Amino acid sequence: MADRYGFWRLLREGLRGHTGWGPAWRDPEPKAEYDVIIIGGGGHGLATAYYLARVHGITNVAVLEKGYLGGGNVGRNTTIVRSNYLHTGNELFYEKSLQLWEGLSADLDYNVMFSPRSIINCFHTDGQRDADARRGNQMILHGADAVLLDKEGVRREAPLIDVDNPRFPIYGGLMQKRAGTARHDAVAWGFARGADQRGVDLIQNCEVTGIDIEGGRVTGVQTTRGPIKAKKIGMAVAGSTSRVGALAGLRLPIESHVLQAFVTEGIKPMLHNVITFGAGHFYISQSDKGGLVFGANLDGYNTYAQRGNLPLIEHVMEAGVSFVPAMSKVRLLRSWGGVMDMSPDGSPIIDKTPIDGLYLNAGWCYGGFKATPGSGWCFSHLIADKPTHHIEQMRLDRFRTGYVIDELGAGAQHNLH
Amino acid sequence: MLIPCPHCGLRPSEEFTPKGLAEAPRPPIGGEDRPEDDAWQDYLHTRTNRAGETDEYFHHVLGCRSWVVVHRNTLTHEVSGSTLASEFWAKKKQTQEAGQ
Repeated sequence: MADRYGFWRLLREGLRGHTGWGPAWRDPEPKAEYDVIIIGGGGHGLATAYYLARVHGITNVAVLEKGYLGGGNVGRNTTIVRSNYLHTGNELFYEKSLQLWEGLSADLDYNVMFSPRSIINCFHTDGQRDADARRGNQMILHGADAVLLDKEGVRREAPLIDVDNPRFPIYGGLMQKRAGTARHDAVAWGFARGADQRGVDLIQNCEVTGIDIEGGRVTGVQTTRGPIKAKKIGMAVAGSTSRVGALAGLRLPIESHVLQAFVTEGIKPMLHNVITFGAGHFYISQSDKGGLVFGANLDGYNTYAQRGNLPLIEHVMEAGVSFVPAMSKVRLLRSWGGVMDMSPDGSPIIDKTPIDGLYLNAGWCYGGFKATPGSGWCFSHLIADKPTHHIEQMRLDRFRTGYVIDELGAGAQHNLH
Repeated sequence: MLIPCPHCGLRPSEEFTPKGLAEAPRPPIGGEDRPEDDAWQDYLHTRTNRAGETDEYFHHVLGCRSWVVVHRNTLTHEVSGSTLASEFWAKKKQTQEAGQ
C-alpha cells in the first residue's frame, strides 16, 4: 500500500509543509449492485467491512451511512476497552475483541491510541468479593487475565479513591491489567481507511429507506441515493435497530434508552486506571487530554433523543464524589447522551434473521465500543458463511428458547442492564 | 421531566421508576399460552420501539405506588398524559373497538 502512515512519511510531509496528505478515503457514488451491503457506517459497520475485505477477500462491499462516518455511538462513549465478563457467551467474544485491540494499530496502520492502563472494579461487601473472585476465575479460564486486589492494592493503584469511605468502605477490587481505553474517533477512521484501501465503497449521506425482500430473501435496499442491489445485507445500526429492522418487517427484542456521559476540564494526571465504584454504578478514567471521563446508569425511560435529564446527572455526581472526593474540586466541561440498543438480558445479538441474506448486529446496550473489532470480526465471518464460536450464544432467538446471557442476573427487563 | 399521575397530579420524574414499553398486555397466568409463544414474547421481550409517541409503564414508587402508563414522545420527551395501568388495556381495547 503506497499511502502508509509512518515516520518517513511524516518526515517527508514535514519537510514539504504537509501539502502531500490526501483524503484518508474516497467518496464514491453508489454502484447498482454489491456482493454485500453493510447498513451503518459506525465502528461496527466499518470494522465488518474491513474484516470482510482483509480476512475473507470480499471487497465488492458498500457501507451505507445516513450521516457521516463515525457520527453515532462510536463518537459518543467513554472509550473503555475490557474483557472482564462472567458468562462464557460474553467472555469468549470480548476476550477475542480485546486480543484484536492489542494488535489493532499495527493491523490498521492507524494509531487508535489503545492504552492498556487496566480496569479495577471495586467491591464493598463480602458477597461482592466472592462474586468478583468467581468472575476473575472465569476470565482466567477463558484465557483472559485477572488479579484480585485487597484494600491496600486499590489504595496503591489509585491513591485518590476514598477506600476508607465510612458508608461504602472498599474491601478490594478485581483488576484486569490488559484493559484500558482507546481513541474513539481513530477507531472508526482507521477501520474506514483500511476498508477503503481494500476496495470497499464508503457511502455517506445515504439513508436506507426500504429493504427489498422477495420470497423470504433480501434482494437489495432503497436509499435516498437510489436503489442498490445485494444478496447479503448486514445491519450494524445499534441505536436505530428497531427502526431499520421495521423496514424488513422485524419486531426485535430491543428498547432504546439514553446513557449519559461526562467530561471535566483538563487537569494533571490523577487517575491512571479505569476504575469503577461497586456501591452504586459509576466508572471513571482520565483522558489523554487530562479530562476526567465518567458515567453511570441509564436514565431508565425509553428515548431516541440523545439527551438525558438532570436527576440522573445529580445522581452520577453524587456517586462520583463519594468515590473520588477530589472530583468535587473540578469543573464539569461537557455532558452528552447516546441512544442505547437495550436487549432484555443486557447482551448483544450477532445472528442471522428469519429473512434469508439479512444479518443482524444489534443490542450492544452500553458495551459497544470495546466490542468494535470483535464485532466486526465475528459479523464478517457470519456474513462470509464461516461463523465463529465466539458468537455461538449471541442468538436472536435466545429469549424465546430461554438460553439468555444474563450477565447481571437482573432478569428480562431492558432498562435494568 | 414532569409526569402526570392520575392520583397525585403533576409530579417530578424522580418519584417514578420506569419499567419499559407497554406494547402488549400480560397474557393470563394459567392460560393456554406457553412461555415461548408470541403472546408472552411480545409482553416480555419484543418491542416495536417506535421513535415518537409511545406508552410506557412507570411505577409511582415515591408517591401513591400506583402503576401508571405514561404517554410520551421518545423523540422530544414531551409527556401527553397518563392512564392507570390497571385500566390501560381495557381503555385501549374500547378505543380500538370504537375506532372500528
